Amino acid sequence: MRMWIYIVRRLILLIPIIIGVMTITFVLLSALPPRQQLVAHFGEPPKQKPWLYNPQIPCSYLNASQKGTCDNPYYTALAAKLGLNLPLPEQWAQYMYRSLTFQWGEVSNDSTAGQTVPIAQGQPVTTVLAWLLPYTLELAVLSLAIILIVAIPLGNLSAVYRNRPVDQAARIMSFSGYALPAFLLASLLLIGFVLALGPATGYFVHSPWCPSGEPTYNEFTGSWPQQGCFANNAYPSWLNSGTISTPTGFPTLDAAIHGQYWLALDTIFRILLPALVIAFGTIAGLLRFVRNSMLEVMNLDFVRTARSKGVPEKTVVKRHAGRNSLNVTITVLGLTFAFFIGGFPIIEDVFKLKGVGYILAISVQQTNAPADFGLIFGSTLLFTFIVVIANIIVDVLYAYLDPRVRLG
Amino acid sequence: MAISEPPSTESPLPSEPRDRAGIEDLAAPADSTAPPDDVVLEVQDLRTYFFTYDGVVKALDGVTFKIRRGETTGLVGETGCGKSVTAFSITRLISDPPGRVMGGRITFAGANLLWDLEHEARFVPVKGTKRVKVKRSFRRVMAATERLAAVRGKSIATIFQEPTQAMNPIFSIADQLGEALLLHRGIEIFDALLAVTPDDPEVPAAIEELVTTARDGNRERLRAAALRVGDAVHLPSFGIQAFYIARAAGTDTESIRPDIEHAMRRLRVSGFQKGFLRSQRRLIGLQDETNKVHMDEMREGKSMGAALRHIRRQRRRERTARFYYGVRGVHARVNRPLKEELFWRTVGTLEGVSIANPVQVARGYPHELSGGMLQRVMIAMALSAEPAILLADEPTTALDVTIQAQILELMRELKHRVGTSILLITHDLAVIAEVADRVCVMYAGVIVEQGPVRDIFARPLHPYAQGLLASIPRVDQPNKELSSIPGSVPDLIDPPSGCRFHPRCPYAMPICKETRPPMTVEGPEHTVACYLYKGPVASE
Amino acid sequence: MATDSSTISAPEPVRGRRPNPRLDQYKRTWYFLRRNTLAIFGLGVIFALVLVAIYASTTSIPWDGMPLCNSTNNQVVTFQELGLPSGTSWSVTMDGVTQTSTGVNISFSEPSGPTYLYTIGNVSGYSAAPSRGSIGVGGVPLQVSIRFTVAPGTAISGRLSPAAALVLPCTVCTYAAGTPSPGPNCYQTPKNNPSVIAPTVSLSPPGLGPLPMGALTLGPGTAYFYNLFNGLLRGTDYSLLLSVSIVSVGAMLGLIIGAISGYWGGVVDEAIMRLVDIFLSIPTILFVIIVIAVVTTTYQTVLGLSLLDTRVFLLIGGFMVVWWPFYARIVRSQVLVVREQKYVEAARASGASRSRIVLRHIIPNSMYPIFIQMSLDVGTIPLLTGFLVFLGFNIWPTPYFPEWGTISAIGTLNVVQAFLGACESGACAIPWWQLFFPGLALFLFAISVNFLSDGLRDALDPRLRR
Repeated sequence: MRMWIYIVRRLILLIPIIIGVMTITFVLLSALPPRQQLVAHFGEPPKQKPWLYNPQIPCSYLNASQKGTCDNPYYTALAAKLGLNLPLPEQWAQYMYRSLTFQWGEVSNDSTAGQTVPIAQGQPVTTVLAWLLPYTLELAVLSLAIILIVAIPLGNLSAVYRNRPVDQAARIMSFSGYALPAFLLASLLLIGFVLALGPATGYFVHSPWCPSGEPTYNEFTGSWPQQGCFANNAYPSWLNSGTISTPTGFPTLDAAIHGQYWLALDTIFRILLPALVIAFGTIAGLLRFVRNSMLEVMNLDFVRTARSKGVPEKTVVKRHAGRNSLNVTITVLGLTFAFFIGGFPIIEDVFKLKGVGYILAISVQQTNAPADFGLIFGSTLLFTFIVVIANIIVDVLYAYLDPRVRLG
Repeated sequence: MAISEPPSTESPLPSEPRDRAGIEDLAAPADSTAPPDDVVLEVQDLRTYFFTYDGVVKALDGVTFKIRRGETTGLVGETGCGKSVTAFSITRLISDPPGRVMGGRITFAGANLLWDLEHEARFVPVKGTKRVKVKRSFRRVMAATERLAAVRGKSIATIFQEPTQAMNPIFSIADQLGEALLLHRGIEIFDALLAVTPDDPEVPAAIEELVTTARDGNRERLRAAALRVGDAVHLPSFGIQAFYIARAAGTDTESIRPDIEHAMRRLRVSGFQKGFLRSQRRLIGLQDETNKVHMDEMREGKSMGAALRHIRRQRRRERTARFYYGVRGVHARVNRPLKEELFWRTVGTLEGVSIANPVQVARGYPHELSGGMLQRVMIAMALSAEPAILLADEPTTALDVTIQAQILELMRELKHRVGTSILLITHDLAVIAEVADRVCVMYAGVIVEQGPVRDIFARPLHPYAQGLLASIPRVDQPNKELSSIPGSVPDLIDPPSGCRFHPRCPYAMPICKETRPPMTVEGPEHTVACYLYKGPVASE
Repeated sequence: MATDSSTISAPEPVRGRRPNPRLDQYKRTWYFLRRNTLAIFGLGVIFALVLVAIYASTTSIPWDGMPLCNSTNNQVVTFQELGLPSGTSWSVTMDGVTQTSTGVNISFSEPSGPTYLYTIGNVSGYSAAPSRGSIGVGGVPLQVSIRFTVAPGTAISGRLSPAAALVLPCTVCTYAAGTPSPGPNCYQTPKNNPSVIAPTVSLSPPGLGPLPMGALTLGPGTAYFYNLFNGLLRGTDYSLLLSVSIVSVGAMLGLIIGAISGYWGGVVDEAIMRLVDIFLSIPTILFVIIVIAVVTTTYQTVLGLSLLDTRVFLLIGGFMVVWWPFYARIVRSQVLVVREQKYVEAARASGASRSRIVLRHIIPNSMYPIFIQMSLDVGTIPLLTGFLVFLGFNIWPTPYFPEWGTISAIGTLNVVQAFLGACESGACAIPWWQLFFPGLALFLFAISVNFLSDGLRDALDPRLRR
């Protein structure tokens, strides 16, 4: 019971954060010129009426005989709908309402994002992000799994065998992880992979295990890639038709649900390399924390008590010290989650994984087209929500692990 | 939010006088190398240094004393004179960087606990500074720690100064006490579990008797009846559980029967679970064998790698066979009888240290208890193995005076019941006067005077002891000035040469500056290290 | 037992220097830092880099794009005469074609590739040097100077044409492997990708050529070269300046805000902590990107300013805004501990004002955890600029700003594109040096900073029980 009270208390504390983040995006959004705001919310004006968002249009558009420029009634109507003429606090309230009810605007066709991912053109931002979110989440879950499996035992070992070979090796790994920027590491691994597997099987163009190719845009509508790799290169025909049910939206889970375990494995392999890159960078920072917290815990009194009881050293380290240092580790993981997530756009860009970060990266690149602010702000809000949810999970875990927190 | 209840006035569980399991099965067959029968632990010339940035702190510089069976030996001194270090050096609980036991001999049950010390580290002085670099052999240090795990807890238990810090905050009291019980009494517990007979024909009659006794509300008879239920099931701790079920039932005695039968259902250990319990028992047996081998190593002074490897191989086999028990859901189910048994034994142990509501305390966490309660729990943990020696490091310093009295009383009672020898470390002379049989007075890392409590208090010989005793305010001499010993505690990095007390000693003589005075015998069992006295040198 | 109070004496007044505990603390920290070899290595590398930065900022290192001569099929070969009086007619015969001219130059247009023989026509009274020769036409227009000297016994009349310098219309050229070098400043390149120049380091005779680390381009087929070595040199001081400025401003902001928040407590503390949480919830890079995107769009459409100039300041400003929350949080937790210390209580009891306490007691004692974080962040900033450039964001006034992160991002992009694009079809020219050298420089910088910060952390940590 007390656990629920604790969770509710933490949730309440997160509300100001969400409001604050939305306020910041609001401030940035309202700094944009009105035309950009309209485009961000309503999408590009249709091709026949490019003047739709101009405040002034030639009067002849309205009345063939008039000369000069008149106020554009369409613009006025749209601006009123968006609340551009209201005072700022009311605009803020409207923006809050819109954000919380997931009305985040539309993808504009002319932007870089719209041109790179044609199927997204004209779609509401939330829909596009919902298509892309499962891939990012899968990547995040896999990276987190790798991080936890590697960093925590390695950090504990580093602390116990201080300054021995394990510690030195872990130290080198953590330093090089810090010093190698993710894009460098990703590129090096990419090249290494391609070199290792021959030029004809570049990783993300033709996956080394699935020489038939990367999933095409059909993934957005829920069909499977053309051919599998381990399963005799053939799927039942009904899978190719493009009308597969995707109950969870996550490719791995859907494949598993349909019984296609090799395909599920394949989806994991596709994201293995990017997950390794992300994990490497995060482990670098986390390892030192785990080590230091473990060192601190090992000097605490109750470890000495456990030793004096005659508990074997291995159990002292694993059970008594390890469980206690987990608290700090999880806290640090929660704190650096924002940084962890922040690297996703670049990784997804390098490996061409179509997730939320990818679309953010391309919508920001602005090579010869205006930036798609609907997507930019939408994906930022989404990333922030992910971070907030991660913090909630961290708090819950914390309560589960530490009875002092749970029971007051 | 601390639960602080007055101790219960009812007498703890009756128990038969137990034999000192801590030392009997570890002692070698009597031979000439064993010390005289009443000396349990002998510390000779113990030296412990701490290697810090500022230099080498010589915390203990030749400490020699004996602990006799059934006696409470007090270790008194100022803060910083090395009392706690002495206790920790005995079981090698000194945190190894920066500390290091340098030399000496600690004889326990015929074994030298400091065997193989010289090979563990090399010392390289740094030129131009007072620092010394310590090059440790990690392997040997780890091996030494493992060896001492044979002695710690089982034969030499420790209780610490700050009970609120000394318990692991994330595990419940039952978990931590249960861990101690499992380590030290594992075989007994598994045997009991494997011998459980819930279908014994005596059981229903025993339950009936319990229900009848519950009606008349007499606590003593209720407890006796509950114990009979436990005997009927062949699991003594079930009696404790029955007692608490009956108490919880209160006036509704009709619900006792189904509750007990429900509890008994959990006792029906299935074949699968029996297999697990047997393999656990084998593992504990292997642990005991390892402990025996370690003691033999320390006794005979040579490494027994082959025997240890053999045991390790057996243990590995045991573990692979037990692997499938490790699966999460299986493990919980298979572990349940063990966990229940440990829980109720914990409750029994807590009753033994006079905690009023042991079930609630056992289920709770350390942060929910007050210092006094936690110290009782610590004592329970320490004495659950019925060790030969209890090292009590300032157990009452962090507690109120009233609680202090209770704890000391508890310790005294348990000492009589279990027969443990206590090494009581404190700076409070009143506690010593109350509880101790013998006293060692320490100053700056050496023992300056030893002897029976009455002798030392009546006739303190060493000037430091005299100063200590004179500085106690006396109620019956109200006009006397408060006196103190002039000067301050010496720097242990550069201790004074010769007798360490000489800068502060009113009777200092030139010889005091040159050499350390030897311990001389000045009375029956009363030795002192001072050049003022010319008695015969104490032989070791 | 004698206890007369005359033996109790007050401690002697200390003569001479007062022992300064802070100095001892520094000495102690330095001692532990010295014992850590990795930290000393890091310190040495950083020191060397600072020296390089000072050198780079004081001497002018050329960083202009060197135009690359296009390799087309026909190249122009120009023969230039020196030493003939103006108006004298002279001729050159090449590839069967003879051209005569009275001017200074005679030009031929030849397809590149083979070697051509040329001969100089006779001019009476003068001997030409060289009078004949062979020339390889590669990817560059060539110029050959023919020096006419007066044959002995000939009278000179007229004005001699001035000695002209050998001038190539473009300074850097490439030629394919297998063809002879058309001239100086021409570099051999792999066949298919004529626009990448590998490091010009030779072992015999040992020496660094003009491009010791190779050339940096923005992908195959572009017109300009950059000397990677110069870029890295110039980039040293830019990177260091950038990192140090961002980190120190961020740390100072965070220190002040964290100290205020920690010491004042109450509503102020809660409000500031919520603000910190909000900032920490937005992923760093995203925030900077968005700020830059928004402001440049606004500037562009509203104010018409050159957006590339503002971008740099937005970048720096954005980073500073994003960076202080980390420090504020660290400082606050330290201040919460320091606040409870006895000396703060004593200061308050003796009537010190709040600001005095904060300035003189709280801040100096809470500074230590920041040093570690600062040293870590200094190594991270160039990486972050690299991230931004890698995403395709142009932050600097020119696309080739000599800053380490930028250069390594461009290099990585080139290599990856070359690899995946050209290499699919067989033999390719991967400009590995564009990835390797900047990456190595970044790696070295970041890792030495890391070693240093780790050494500092171990040296400053009181809990590691020395």
